[in-house]
Amino acid sequence: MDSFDKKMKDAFEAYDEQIPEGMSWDEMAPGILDKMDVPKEKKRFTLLFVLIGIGFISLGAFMTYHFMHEEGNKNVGPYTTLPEQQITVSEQKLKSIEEKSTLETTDNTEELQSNTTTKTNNIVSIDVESHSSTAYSYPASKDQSGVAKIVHLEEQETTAMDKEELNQPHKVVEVNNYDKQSSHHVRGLFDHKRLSVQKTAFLNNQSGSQLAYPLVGKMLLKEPKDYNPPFLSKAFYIAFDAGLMFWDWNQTEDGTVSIDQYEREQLSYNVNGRIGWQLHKNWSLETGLQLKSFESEFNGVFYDEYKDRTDTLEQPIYNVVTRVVSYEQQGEIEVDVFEKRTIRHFNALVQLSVPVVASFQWNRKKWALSAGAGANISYMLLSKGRSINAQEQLVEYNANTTLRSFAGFDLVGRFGLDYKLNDSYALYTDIRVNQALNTWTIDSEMSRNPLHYTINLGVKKRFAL
Amino acid sequence: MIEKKIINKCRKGDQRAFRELYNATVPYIFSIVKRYVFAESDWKDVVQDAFAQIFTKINVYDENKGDFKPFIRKITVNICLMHIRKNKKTPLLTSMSDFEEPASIDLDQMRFQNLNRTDIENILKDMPDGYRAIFLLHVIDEFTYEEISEMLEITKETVRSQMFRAKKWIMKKSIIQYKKSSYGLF
Repeated sequence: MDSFDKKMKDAFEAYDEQIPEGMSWDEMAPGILDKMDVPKEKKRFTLLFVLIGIGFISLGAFMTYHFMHEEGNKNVGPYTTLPEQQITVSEQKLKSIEEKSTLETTDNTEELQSNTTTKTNNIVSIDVESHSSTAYSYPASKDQSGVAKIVHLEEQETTAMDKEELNQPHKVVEVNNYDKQSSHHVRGLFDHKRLSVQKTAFLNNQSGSQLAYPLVGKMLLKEPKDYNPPFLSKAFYIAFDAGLMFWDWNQTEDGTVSIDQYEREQLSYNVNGRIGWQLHKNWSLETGLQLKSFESEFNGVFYDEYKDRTDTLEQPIYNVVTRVVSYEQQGEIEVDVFEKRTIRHFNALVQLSVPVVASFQWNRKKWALSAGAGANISYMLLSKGRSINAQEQLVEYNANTTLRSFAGFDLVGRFGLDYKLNDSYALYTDIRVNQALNTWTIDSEMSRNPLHYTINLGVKKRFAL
Repeated sequence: MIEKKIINKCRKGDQRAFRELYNATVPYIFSIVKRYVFAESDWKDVVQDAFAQIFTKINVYDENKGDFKPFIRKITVNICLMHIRKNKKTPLLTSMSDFEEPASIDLDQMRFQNLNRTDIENILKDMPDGYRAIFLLHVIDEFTYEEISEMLEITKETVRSQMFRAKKWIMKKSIIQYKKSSYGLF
């Protein structure tokens, strides 16, 4: 190589080429991977979580509407056919009814026989005291707020019109009022203020006489105008669980620092206290307090070959990376010699979170499988750490002085499996994925969006107010 | 220096390792691309081609046979040459009759040492493609005549003669540049 060649080579070699804008990895990677014909790097989970969250919320809204609407229609919707039920009548009441029946039969036999070809001469009115809780109405009206469950049958002289109506097998009977004074006796339940049944409908069995219903054809009830089925139930649960946590930095790189993500070791745990509101048999909303202890150990290394990073030596010692660049001569060619330095970090962070999660659950006899989504509001209670620097010195540092994001917001996805011990207690396992939306910056060069997973075991107690 | 571990991860298709390798080597790759390809609009495309080739061919890289840097340099130069061929649609070699041979020039006379990098870049920009490619391959990227002859699929003698002419062409241009500068023309 002559002096001419050397001059030309020196002119190019000594030049630190600046990379133009638009050539970062994120911008170039799609094109490179396309040309390599390999699958593109998976995107971060943030968008996926948002979509899953929106999906669950939409599904929940739809399912809630669907089930509520369906149950309303099925049981109290307008002109819904009642299922056949049996109403237990006490012996004493039966006797009373039969006496009335006898009277009525006596009074009305001639008229009834003249107006109908069927044997309806044993028409009676009854006052049912004992009844099935699901006989007539929805919801089970323990508080009498729903449609009355029982029918007060009032003895009254049957008119020709009444009999005609009674003989129609699918007569619609309007429910327009009920007596709130009594939990069992409701007067004037129907428009006609009377419902007659055939005496032959009373059957005897071991538990007493029963009124086989319906006997005058299938009765149809109509929902009262002022009836509003409750949207939310009053069942709650409390739960406590604890478990392990695994986490990963979704590092935000500034182009100068790389964390050796493959040598990281970590052991973290979390404990939870939860309170949940059972909105519906399939839907619940829960919140609570979650204490997470993050611990990590990882190496920081620096790979950049072309930037003089000696300036980082002037930074605090716990900066992730330092590098020394020197040159040595090998013949006529200058060869860069780089020394990579590694700093090992030990971080400990304690975070308090308030999760709000909506879940849908599939109930089985003993098991319940659930999935849900929601959000966490988090606050960093404690952050501290140590590092072993390039000179192998142990350095304590308090990340509180450099941690710039103390409060944060996470997206949460969860799956759970409950094993019901009895009506009140259940054991459960709960798996959650949390993606922090805000960036945690612990030192001057690294900032991250932690992604962490928890797997917990706990116990749940259900109770109704 | 690129760590073995990163290279091994790249071989396994680890895209995080791709990112690290890219960040570590893109200034070097870009400096090569910029030497060969003058059209700024083509830089991004050529750099992408170069990295696609590097990531694809990293499996055949043998640490025992040499450093990683020459390996990626060769790939990048080849990509650049392909790009030049594709866009020019003409042979890369410059015909000897295309340009007037410069007169014999004394190196001391030309004041070559006074030219800075920008001057040299400007001179190279005007250089015929054939001369420039061979000149860059040999002088800057240190490929031997034999390697260049393989890359360009020409004889070693052709490489040698083109190189000789390239140098003369540069010297002539340098003198013109120097004289213009001396007379305050620019």
